[in-house]
Amino acid sequence: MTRARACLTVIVASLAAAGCFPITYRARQTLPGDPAVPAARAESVKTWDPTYAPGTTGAHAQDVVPVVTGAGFDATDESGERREYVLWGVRLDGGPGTEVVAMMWSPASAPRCQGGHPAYDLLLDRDRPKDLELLEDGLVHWERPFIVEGSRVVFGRFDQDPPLLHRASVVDLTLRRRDAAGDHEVCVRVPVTGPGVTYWSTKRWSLGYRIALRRAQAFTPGSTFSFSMGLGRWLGPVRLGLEAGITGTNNDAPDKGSPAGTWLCFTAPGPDCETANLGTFALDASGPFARWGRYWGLAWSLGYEVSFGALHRLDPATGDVLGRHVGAGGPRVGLRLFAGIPDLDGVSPFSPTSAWSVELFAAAAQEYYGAAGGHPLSYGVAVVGF
Amino acid sequence: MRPFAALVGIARSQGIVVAAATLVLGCRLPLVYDVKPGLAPRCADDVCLEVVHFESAEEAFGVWLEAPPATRLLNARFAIDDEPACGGHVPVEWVRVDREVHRHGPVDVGGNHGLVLDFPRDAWFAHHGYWRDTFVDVELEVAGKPRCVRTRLTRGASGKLAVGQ
Repeated sequence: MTRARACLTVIVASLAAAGCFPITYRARQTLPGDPAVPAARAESVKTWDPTYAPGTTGAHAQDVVPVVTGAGFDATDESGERREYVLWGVRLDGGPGTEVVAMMWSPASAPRCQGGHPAYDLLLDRDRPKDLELLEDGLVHWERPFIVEGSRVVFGRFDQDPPLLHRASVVDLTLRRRDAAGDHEVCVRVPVTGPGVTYWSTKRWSLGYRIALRRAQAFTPGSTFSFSMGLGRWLGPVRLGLEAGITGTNNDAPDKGSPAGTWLCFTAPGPDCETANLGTFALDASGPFARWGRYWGLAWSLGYEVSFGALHRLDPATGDVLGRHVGAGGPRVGLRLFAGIPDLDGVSPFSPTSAWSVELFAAAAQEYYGAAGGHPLSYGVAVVGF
Repeated sequence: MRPFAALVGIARSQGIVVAAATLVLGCRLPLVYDVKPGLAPRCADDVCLEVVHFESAEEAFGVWLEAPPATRLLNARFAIDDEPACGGHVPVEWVRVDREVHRHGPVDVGGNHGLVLDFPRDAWFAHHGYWRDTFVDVELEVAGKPRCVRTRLTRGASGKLAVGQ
């Protein structure tokens, strides 16, 4: 019971952690801003940007609201909070010097520089030093306006608006320029979602989970249940993952009262079953190839898996429990229907993503050692997170 | 006997490493400065500014400011080593003046005010703060004229606090 509880805790904790990583998309295909000078175009978007609410900071692992009074610094108010925002990045050619006054994210139909989400914070990419990996790419610029020289990325932090991520939208930059005619404000409109703008997720690493029910193994005809965890690395549109897990059946001794046959060996071992305790490892390549709407998509999967462990069965004649060790491995192919993270309009269907999926798979295996006794070809269904 | 000797050897070598690390790190972790306003104000031309709270690896700085009526806070920056005053590359993220939060400036700060200056989360560690000279620069505009007030936080050579001295 303790073991089961510990396993459950690990599973729940890891599943809960899976959705806690910000996702950044980089623009692949963009449209120029209007007017053409100063030049501006979409650069990136972080669709889930958790940060402290204004006035909140971290102190000794607490979210606090600090104040300074005549009595000194006081950080005892623990009512601080964190919020999630959308962080849009626009590459702007500021030339010899352009002042950034404000930023607004709105539907493409909205009037320029009016009627959208105003940016709470404006950030500028770091110009130096680039070796400080701990610092974010963009630093908040509290002063307004701030000056952009040359080609830089200006970021704006906006309220979450999931529907707006899925329709044509624009980021409007209010800029101030100085020329021979004097100071004047310009509103540059940059299309960030909609026709002509495409994105690719910058996601590189991902945790993987796999809960599978398999009809048979090469060495036993009974069904087995497995849970695996792993780590994956996206290489372009392909996720290469390494999994390790446990595979087995209910460990109760085969029971003559349980149903005959091998379909339910994983949960209610009957007289035709063997109990299995196996370790499983797999190298898996997978990738999405189609998306519909905000969530749904299809992905392929191709892997090679190996299993090692012990099997036990009840000898019906003597009533003795007989054990044997087995090892087998072989290829596995699968098709996944997934519910992906609701990213934004224009993301390539081949782009890396995070998703939960249902996979139908087929697998072939050959014994490395131990007697065969199952089926060299098998199939099953799995719930896969990646 | 040989395994035992090897174990003693490992323990000794590890001990030296631990002792060396303690000597280096022990003098530098953590740095906390927290006082009431009025202990060590820095005053010049009617403006008195005092860092009253600083804690290494935390984002928020506490500042007490006494300034003439026509004073605006333009910006604040965290700077290291030889970066020029008010030329540091890490600007403040938000400012609280007394009880009110300001997400962007400039903001009027004439009179006596308690300020919280909040910098990026990893500004300290990203700059190896325990081994560098660190500063907080406050950029003011007093009666239309810019003013930069620099406060040294730490001395990199010793790893000791410099604020308040």
